[in-house]
Amino acid sequence: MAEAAGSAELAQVPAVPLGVEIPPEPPEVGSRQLFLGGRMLAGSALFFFMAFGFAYFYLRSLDVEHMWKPKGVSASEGWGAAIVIVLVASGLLAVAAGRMMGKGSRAPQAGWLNVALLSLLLGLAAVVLQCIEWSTQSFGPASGAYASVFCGWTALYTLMVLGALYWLEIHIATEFRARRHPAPHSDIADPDRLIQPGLDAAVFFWSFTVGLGILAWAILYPISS
Amino acid sequence: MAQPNHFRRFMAIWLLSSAVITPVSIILLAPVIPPGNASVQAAGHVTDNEVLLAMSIPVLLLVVIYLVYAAMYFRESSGAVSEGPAIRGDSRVQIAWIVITTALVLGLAGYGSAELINDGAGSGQGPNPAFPAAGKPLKVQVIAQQWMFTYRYPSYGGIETPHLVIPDNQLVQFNVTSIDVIHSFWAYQLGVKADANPQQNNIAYVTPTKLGSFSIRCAELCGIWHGYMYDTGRVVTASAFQSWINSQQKKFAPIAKELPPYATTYLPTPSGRGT
Amino acid sequence: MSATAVSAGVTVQRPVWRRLIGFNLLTAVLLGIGGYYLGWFLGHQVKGPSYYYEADVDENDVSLMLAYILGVIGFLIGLGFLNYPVARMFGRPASLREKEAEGPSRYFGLCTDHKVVGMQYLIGIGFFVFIGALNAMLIRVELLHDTSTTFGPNQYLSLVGMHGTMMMGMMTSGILGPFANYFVPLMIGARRMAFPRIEALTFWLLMAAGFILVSTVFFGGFPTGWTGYEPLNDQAVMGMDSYICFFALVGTSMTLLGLNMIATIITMRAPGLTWSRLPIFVWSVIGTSALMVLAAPTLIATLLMATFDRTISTSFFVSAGGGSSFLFENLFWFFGHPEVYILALPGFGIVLELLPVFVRKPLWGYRLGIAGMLGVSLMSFFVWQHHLFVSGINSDLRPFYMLSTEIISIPTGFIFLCVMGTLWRGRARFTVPMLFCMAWAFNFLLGGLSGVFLSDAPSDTDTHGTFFVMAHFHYTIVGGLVFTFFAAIYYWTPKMTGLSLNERLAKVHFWTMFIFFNTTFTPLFVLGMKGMPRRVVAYATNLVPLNRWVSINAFLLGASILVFIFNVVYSLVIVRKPAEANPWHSKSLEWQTPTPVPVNNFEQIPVITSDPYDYGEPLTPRAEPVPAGG
Ligand code: HEA
Ligand code: HEA
Ligand code: CUA
Ligand SMILES: [Cu+2]
Repeated sequence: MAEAAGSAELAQVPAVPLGVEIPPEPPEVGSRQLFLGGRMLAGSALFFFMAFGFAYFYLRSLDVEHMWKPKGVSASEGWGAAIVIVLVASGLLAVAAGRMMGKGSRAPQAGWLNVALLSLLLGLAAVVLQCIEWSTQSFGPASGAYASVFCGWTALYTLMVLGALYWLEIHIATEFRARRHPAPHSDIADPDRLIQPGLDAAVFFWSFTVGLGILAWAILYPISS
Repeated sequence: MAQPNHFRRFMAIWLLSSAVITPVSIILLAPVIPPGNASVQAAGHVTDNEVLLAMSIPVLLLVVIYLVYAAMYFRESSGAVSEGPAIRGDSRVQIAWIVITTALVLGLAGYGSAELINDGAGSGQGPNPAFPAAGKPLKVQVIAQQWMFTYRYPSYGGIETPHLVIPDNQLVQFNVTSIDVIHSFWAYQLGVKADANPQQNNIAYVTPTKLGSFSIRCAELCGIWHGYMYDTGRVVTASAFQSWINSQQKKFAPIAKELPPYATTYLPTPSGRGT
Repeated sequence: MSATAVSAGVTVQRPVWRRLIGFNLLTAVLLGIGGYYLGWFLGHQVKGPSYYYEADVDENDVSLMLAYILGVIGFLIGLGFLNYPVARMFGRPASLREKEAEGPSRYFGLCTDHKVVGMQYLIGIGFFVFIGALNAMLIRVELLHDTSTTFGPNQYLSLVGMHGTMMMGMMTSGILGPFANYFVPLMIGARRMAFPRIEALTFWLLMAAGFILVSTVFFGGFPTGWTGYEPLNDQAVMGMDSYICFFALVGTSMTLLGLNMIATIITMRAPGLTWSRLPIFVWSVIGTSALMVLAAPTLIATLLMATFDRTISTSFFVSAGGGSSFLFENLFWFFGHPEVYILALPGFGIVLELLPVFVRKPLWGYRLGIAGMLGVSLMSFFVWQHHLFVSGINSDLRPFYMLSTEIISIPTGFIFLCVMGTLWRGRARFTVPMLFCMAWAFNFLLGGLSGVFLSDAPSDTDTHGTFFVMAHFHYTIVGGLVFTFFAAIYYWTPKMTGLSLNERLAKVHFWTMFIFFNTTFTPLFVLGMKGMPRRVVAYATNLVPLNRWVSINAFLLGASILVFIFNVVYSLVIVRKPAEANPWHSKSLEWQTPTPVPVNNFEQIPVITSDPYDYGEPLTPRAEPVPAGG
């Protein structure tokens, strides 16, 4: 019976005791997993924010009680633009870092590290700007439907930014550590396979996040009035 | 092996039993299929259910008879493991199945849509009905709140009464709305159901054809006393309706002055807990 | 993330007290409780105690929300879920706590072995589904009478809400959690899941969620049913927060589960396992997972909006502030309908996977079956407004939704055709798993056809919000999913435990469950047609006899589950009769591994040369007359 499904020896495989290390998958499998994982996470995030996008257009079209956007509720265009510009710059830098890293193994000269670091810092700057905007804005979450969508969306989007930045950050941190403790003494057995595929997925996710941010900006600022 | 021709035998059993059981069961069930014939719309639903039954009984029989047939003939009675024929598919059967189910489904959807477009089939159609009924309707507003219905008659000075009375053989337009959470106005015998949404007008049409009372139920969970949100309405003759509405106008005249002017929706009362 | 550098350290036996300290379930529970009270405290700092309704009830949604969130975070920290991310944040490759622990303790903590997670899921979900079933029994106790007797109206609604929410939340992972986690890697010839830590996380999130939902009884329950409609949701007492938190966690768990499954199936198939050789169960997992990844985030977003409405007074759904209850209905059902197919699809997979084994024939119409599953998944995003036919939302679109809903019958019909074709001229052995599959065909047919009645907008005008709907979805879910859930349990227990279940008791379980399921739920179609609304404590007197009949049969149905539980205890704890290595003579890959399955599953990754359905004697051209098929 066994022949049919797979190799005949299968049934005779000796039981392996517990606590035994499972050999890791080959690197290309790991990198495809991260690739797919990143894309699917992006899909989930898209549907997540789509719910807010739908809320935006739906409530706006209904304008119940004329409370969509009562007088005095308007987000500051200036801050909005500042945030999105910083985000885009960071995203572009991240993509550039990904390119510099190259495929296969990570380039030893590693100019990518500084670029990625800059991208990370800009991303954090966007978060700081967002916080400043919140603390200076003229309305709160309770001032109508637009205010609700605005506050809900920006808050959750900021969380997503932090998540994506974390993903970027772990690769930078790994690279730093791998450099501080070079190969023979390192606890990072194989920096190549830890960093390159991971960075690829992280850069994708970060640029996706930035893309979502542009969309959010367009909806929340220019076309909201 | 002298195998009987299972395919032909099964088809014969199925066709025969469908041909007998389908009409018989529809004829038997027709008088008891809810919601009865107290209104044009309700009678429409009964026909609709009959059509659905006529479609689904053969499908039901097909699968059920097949399962029994298979259990009887396609089994290994000894319980031993013995291999069956390695058939992996049959494109003709598959295509036939796809074509037939598609035809059934399209037919059903077409029929249902026609029924719906006729007059909205008694269901809530939102503020601007896409499928209005023909005729000049008597407007009745149904205002739901936790946990009761009240009714306003805009063409009679907007009086508000705690009871629903409508004339028979008259197209009635229910304007259903709520002043707190979502409820649903359900007049069972009339075949009417329309959600009562805060800040929304929801229109449903009905033409009652039978005198008598009908039960009204809230059909959307609306809080603790949802189970007790029911009421009884009456269908009366046109003249009885006139005298009833006149008496109501008199009776509720003092209250009518306090009421907000008639509108399709009313500002909802702030939700129970405040903030 | 899969690059786990594990040092196979020597384990030294340490004293008990020492072993209690560290990342384990005990720490997790303690930290969870600590987090809970921290959140509660912080919430009161932010918002201050606030008193509504009754003076002795402290209604502070902010603090309860924070309490739940911090509680869950504490719980996860205690289990050790933060070790890896934090280590990576500082550039370390992986934390040493991640390796598979030994002994039974690995079932009580973070374990990245997919087989352990599968067992954890089975027990965990079984526990919470049992609670859900108890709720159902209590519902039926109350419905013995036409007025509120045993429970007050508020208690009744909380029972219905808890039953519906618990069942829906837990059963969404009812088959994917235990069986896909356990068997998908085995079926595709992999040694682990793509993201083992995420796999463990999905399980523990679900457990945390389950306890949160149960804790709603301390906060007044929730009156909205499993749909949580606004603005009632906004109005409800604090128990509502438990519902929100539960479903949001379940949604997170679902998203991650689906993501993990898809990544595993795409990247980790053994050589030779082409897409056309994939077991059909794996295909159903793909379909389900795709729905999970895309639909669940919408649920999370919707619940977050509801949370914002309840805590920081936004107005997504409150019309006084510019919100709309329609928004909630649309968003909820945009998730809600795919959700019901998340429940149904794994059942399809189980049935089509098991039938060939017991009929000793190849799966009939493999491609058609896949088309059916993927078709259902795709279509399920375009039908959600059939739950809103009478709501007044976009009523002019109803013909479209009617059509799209009815079109779903076509791909679902494919599954039935595959079942019928596979049975055709088979040599069926009616073992217990096979019986459950046959019962599926009958039950789901009734459920599906009643769905067609509902999908017809004029007819739905009468049946919406009645027990007809309730009967419909119990036929599809209990009849469709729970029956296949049991089929899977009976089929795979010999593999998972190495022990066999008592056949006679299993048959008793099957027949009592099948008969009492049908006697319980068929009358509900009639009840619904006669005007019995859902979610009511009080109903018309003329409906009492039928309701009594239903209740009594529901208790008998519950008793049939006790037979199952007795069988489990009796066979797996007391008798412990070892099972044959491959009792069903299946050719599927998972049965070719030794029992118990070694930690690394396969010493050598197998090379697949055919699909797992090559049963049957080769067809000699003459022997078989042409009209072969259903
Ligand atoms: C496992 C879960 C599951 C499944 C699979 C289904 C399947 C279907 N459901 Fe159901 N449904 C629910 C769970 C499920 N449902 C739940 C939980 C609710 C209520 C939620 C709530 O309000 O709380 C609900 C509610 C619900 C409603 C809303 C009712 C209302 O509130 O007014 C409708 C309306 O259209 C509907 C329709 C359908 C249809 C058409 C199918 C179809 O997919 C069925 C297709 C199957 C068949 C038709 C049978 C097999 C096919 C053949 C043999 C081929 C030949 C057949 C034909 C040509 C017709 N369902
Ligand atoms: C998975 C979904 C599921 C399941 C299995 C069930 C099972 C049952 N349900 Fe229901 N039910 C719902 C989902 C489910 N239900 C939903 C969504 C609602 C709507 C709520 C709302 O209105 O908001 C509802 C509502 C509902 C009502 C309507 C209440 C009302 O509207 O007033 C009733 C009333 O009779 C009822 C009864 C039952 C009964 C008797 C069972 C019996 O079948 C129970 C018997 C038990 C089982 C069949 C399962 C047992 C399994 C185990 C114990 C697992 C063991 C496994 C291991 C140990 C590994 N349910
Ligand atoms: Cu009003 Cu239910
Ligand atoms: Cu649906």
